[in-house]
Amino acid sequence: MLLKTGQRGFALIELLVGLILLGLIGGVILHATVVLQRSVRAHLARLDAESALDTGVGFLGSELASLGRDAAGSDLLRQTPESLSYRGERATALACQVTANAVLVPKARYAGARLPQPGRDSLLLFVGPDPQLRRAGSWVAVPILAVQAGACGSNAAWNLVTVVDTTRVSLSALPLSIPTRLFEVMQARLYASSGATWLGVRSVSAGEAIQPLTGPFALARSGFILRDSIGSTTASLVATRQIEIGLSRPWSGWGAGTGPAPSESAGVTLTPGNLAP
Amino acid sequence: MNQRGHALFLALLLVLLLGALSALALTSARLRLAGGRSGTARSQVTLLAEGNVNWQVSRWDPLLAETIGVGGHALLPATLSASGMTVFDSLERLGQGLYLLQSTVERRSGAGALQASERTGQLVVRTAPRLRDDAGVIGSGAVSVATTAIVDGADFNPAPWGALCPTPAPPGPSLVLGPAGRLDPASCSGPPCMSGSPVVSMDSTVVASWLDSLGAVPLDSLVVHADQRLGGLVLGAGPAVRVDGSCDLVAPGNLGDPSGPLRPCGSYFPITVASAGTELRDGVGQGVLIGLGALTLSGVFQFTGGIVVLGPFTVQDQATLTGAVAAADSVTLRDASSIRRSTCAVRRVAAGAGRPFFQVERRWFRPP
Repeated sequence: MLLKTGQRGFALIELLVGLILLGLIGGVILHATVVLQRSVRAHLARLDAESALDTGVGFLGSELASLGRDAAGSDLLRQTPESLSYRGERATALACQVTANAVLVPKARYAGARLPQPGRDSLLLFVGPDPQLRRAGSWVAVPILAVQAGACGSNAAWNLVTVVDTTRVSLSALPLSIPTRLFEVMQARLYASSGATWLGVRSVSAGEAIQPLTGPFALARSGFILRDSIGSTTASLVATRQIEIGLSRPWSGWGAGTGPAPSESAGVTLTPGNLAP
Repeated sequence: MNQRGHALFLALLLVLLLGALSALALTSARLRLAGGRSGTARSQVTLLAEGNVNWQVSRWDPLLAETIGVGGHALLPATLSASGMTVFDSLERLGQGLYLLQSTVERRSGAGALQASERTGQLVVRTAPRLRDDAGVIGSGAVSVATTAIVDGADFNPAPWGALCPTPAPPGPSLVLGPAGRLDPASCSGPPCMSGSPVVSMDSTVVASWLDSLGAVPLDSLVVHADQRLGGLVLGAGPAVRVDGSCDLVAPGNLGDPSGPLRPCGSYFPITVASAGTELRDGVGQGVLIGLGALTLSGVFQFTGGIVVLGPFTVQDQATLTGAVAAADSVTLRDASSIRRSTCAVRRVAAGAGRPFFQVERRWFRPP
């Protein structure tokens, strides 16, 4: 290409300086891009971890909030650092009648996420008041053997076939509307699968296998801790007033060669009102 | 080669990347904020509903609880509230002594959209104390009755209560004494000032600790749940009615209305605690009266129900008790005072003095 009059080409030194400057700027931009990429990846990994933790803590918080205890025992049935077996409340109701082999529950006085299921669910019936025992009544657990249609007067009801121990329950002394809780025995557990630790739940009373809920988690920093009325850790299910749930999850998608993956942790301490004395 | 063009292109790319990252962070922050607000609203309504239930239990309205028939329910006056929230409290009577107290709280935005709601409840059992009614005076200390006074073991029904009382029981003793109790040698010991069948009876269970508990209810619990607390000289106690015609339960000295069972305060049987040295002069009252120390009834004061006294108990002038007194210390009747045994009065006020003395196990109950 010919140069026009008055124009001149780049001197070699100018060209070199230009190339060096371009290289420096390119390097800076490349570095910034890599940093940005890592930052975005970390952000997404953190969101992912938080979402998994929210799912786990939210589910367990809701499940365990209705736990209770009475003179007969606690709804907490078994605990290890990695698992918790408990009575999960599925519904509350006001029964209109209890006989030796049936509990009649008006459909209008039943509040639950699902219908009662024989074999899987059981009932806690409020028996009382009993001033002779210096307490305001007690709860008696009975199984649900079958669910049939029934009626409370002119109102549609479920006839929950059961067996009531009439030596413990004075049927004639029951109130007009009998407070009733419907529950199933559940287990929440941290378990290993595919080289990772997951949080899963299963219905023990239905004989289910563990169902994954969320994960993966770092087993070493996740689990269940029971605390008594003064906040000390306890192994006694009856003395438990608080349940501490801790979950820790490493960031997923953390690049290899970039050091150990950071982790996100979430914890919640539940104080179910019905565990109080 | 246009270096300025490349630099511009790279700079634009960098700006775009930064913009995308900022947008991502902003969206994430907004989502968190929205989630946080929603969580806060849920927490607020839950705490308010639970607080309301606890509050309603603590300020238990015995008159309302008694008025609701089994199977019925009533709305309760709102208690705790907060800006932007609506509260509905109600009480349902599930059985004779069993209630379900529930609170529903809703939080709405300025445009009226429901942001969060919570409905929670608590099972409450009302337990009645048990007072002895087998004699006019049951005491574990010295008893002295002036010849002008009367202690009668016959079973009287309070005249204004009429059909509210069953047929009177057979006459009982005027006085039941514990092992440490004694009738003062100078006291009247027979008709007409002391009459009954027998006049005096002994009971080995009337010992120092016999008033620690009234049936299933510890005396301390009754004191904690007192509706009225009196001290010093109390003149002219009597029913107090609000402008709207309802019984004013918090009016000082309102000890119910024994003369008018169908009047606003006729079904109000307060638990009244009198500090040591209290003197009730003139006026009327009913319910359960607990004297923590020395207690005196004087003037023309008329009381219907049960009295429990831990210190010296004196009835003088023309003061009268229709019911029974259980005393841990001395009992003295002077002048033209009288104590007439009434099983109806004692049982009716005991039932009316039922309160949530015991907490129900697993009391939090989601109302169906």
